[in-house]
Amino acid sequence: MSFVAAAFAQGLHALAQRPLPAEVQREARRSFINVVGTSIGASLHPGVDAILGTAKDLGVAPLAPVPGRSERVDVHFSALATGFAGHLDDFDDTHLATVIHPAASILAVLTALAPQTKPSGAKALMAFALGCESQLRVGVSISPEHYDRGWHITGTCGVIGCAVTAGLLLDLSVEQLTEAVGIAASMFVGMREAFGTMTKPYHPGKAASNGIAAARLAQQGQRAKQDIFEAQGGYSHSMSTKVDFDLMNGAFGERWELLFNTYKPFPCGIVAHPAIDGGLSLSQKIANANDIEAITLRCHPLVPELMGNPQPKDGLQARFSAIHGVAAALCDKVVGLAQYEDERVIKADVTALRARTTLAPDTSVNRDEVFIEARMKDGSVVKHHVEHARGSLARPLTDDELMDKVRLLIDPLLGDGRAAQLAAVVDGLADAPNLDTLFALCAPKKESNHA
Amino acid sequence: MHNPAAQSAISDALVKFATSPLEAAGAHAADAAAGALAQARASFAALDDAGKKVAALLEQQGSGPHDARVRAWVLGAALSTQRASSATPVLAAVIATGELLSSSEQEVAAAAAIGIEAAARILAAVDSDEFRVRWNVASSLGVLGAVLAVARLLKLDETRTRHALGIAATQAAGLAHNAGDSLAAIETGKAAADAIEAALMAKHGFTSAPASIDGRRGFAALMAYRFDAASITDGLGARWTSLG
Repeated sequence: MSFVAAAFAQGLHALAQRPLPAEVQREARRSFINVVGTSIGASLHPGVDAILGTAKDLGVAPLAPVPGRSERVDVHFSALATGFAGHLDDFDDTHLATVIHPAASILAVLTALAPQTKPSGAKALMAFALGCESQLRVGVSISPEHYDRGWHITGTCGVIGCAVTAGLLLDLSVEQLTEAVGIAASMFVGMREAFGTMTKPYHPGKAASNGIAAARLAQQGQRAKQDIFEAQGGYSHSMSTKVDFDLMNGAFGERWELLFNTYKPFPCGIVAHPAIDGGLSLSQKIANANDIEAITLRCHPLVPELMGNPQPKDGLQARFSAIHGVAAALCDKVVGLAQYEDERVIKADVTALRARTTLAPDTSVNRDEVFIEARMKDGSVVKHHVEHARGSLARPLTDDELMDKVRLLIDPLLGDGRAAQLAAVVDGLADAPNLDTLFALCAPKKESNHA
Repeated sequence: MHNPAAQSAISDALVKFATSPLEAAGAHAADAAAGALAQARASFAALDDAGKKVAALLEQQGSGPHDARVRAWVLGAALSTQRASSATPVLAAVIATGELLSSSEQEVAAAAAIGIEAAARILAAVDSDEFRVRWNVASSLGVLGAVLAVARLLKLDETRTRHALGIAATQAAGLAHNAGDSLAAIETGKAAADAIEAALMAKHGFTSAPASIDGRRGFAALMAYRFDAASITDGLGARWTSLG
């Protein structure tokens, strides 16, 4: 009988010995550029300052970068800050079946370990893809009970994927990789009580540093119990009452959970996305939002339930207001982080348009669907039907749409054209000799400050 | 969608306990803590295998030997090879933090006493066979006591202490199945390190859940199978359960 941890590590290690299938490699590159964008976009957040301030208090060595920042910190705090920024604003990727945001913690491992392990681009992309895939597989094996109960699955499963990424970067043997995932299983992090605070995005950051520690300990010969996943008092049965190890270890190389990863076009809960998408479509046909008399959105009932705030007072509240997203779409013809800044949310134009917008819940409308109708002051009516919102599984973001999002995240901080340069590097990652260019472009100064 | 609780009587009580002057009844607890600290420092002189592995790990990461987070991890792992309890991460964390801040021996002993008492009381509130069969008691409870002790040494105000407690609670971890192995010692040492990180981040303005212990998606809801709030709050500060 094979132990779950050993079978898991063997399956992943075998996958790492051959090239990724083309469609998996493509999705890995899309996840990669997306999370590079979100981590840079949030790099000036006070939470990143707090993490870097803590590193300074402890006098750590300047070993590894943090995307978007010029400071260098040790491996631990590089992982913490990068994973935190990547997941801030919930603007990163989402694997819909598990609600895992896999890429932030995995980019954090790569960022923290790249200076010491110097992976080729191909190796980094492999470690990235398998780190995402492995945590998603752990996630599906204990879903949905694990998340429903209140665990933040992005951290609790992410830590195991992070150990895999770190293990591949450190060239662990299959036996060492088995120990690494077993050690990581005891380092889970993340309770949903912390949602709405900086601690939520801390979870993938800490998953990354814990995963690295697990892989390093395994490299030094530390052992974990062979049956740590399946035993009573082990990981899986302690974390969930519903466990299916076939979903963790079955069909390696045939079933790729990474292919079900999605990217958010807008920085708010996914439930509001069809409405915002509808607003953007109407904005193509309505030159001036002042000409609108009233807007009605026929939508899934979850929209008013979860995103029903009619008049948000700040950016955080606006993230729970589908109506704000629609009003901002019609006023600004674009919806990015700028539309959720506190000052933008309270301006007169969006406030007035929000007051003229109504949500009409309808159980016959699907979750990724919306019917939007604007009655104009001249009596005419402009309508649009969003069958599947952009960013949904049925209508994934196109590469161009993904780049539109990433550009809005990166260029305002690092300068015009930087997002395109980074995208070109990620596109060519499989042939890159190392990650030096990538991380140099993630830093605020033109010249590389890579040691 | 779960809207986290805006406040919690449990957090308030623990935070007040950690930030207030010791009541007279606490003097004995501080004496007892001073004794435990002396013992802990003595046993740290000889590093065991788990302690050495952790020390090597952390040096590879660019964290120097004077990094308090690192020292707490190594010390906690070393202490755990004898007999770990929820007090172990507290002792490791206050020794390392006391060195970082050059705290007085009196301050360190008072912080240790408070952290040990808080962890013991939270354990009493959640203790059951179901809890012990799943989780490492020393690491999962110890991180909560340790963070309150470190917050006290850092002289954090009530708000920041509450955030520190939340950052620690969300990473309460460690699996019962590793009991008796060197990995359990590493888990327990890690709890001390995580507590120092949490308190320092809160000092810098990092935020967390107000009801991290007793909220609907918090520590007790996810890891415990019973929750007796009175075990935490009854006579807190006046009566010392950890002195028995």
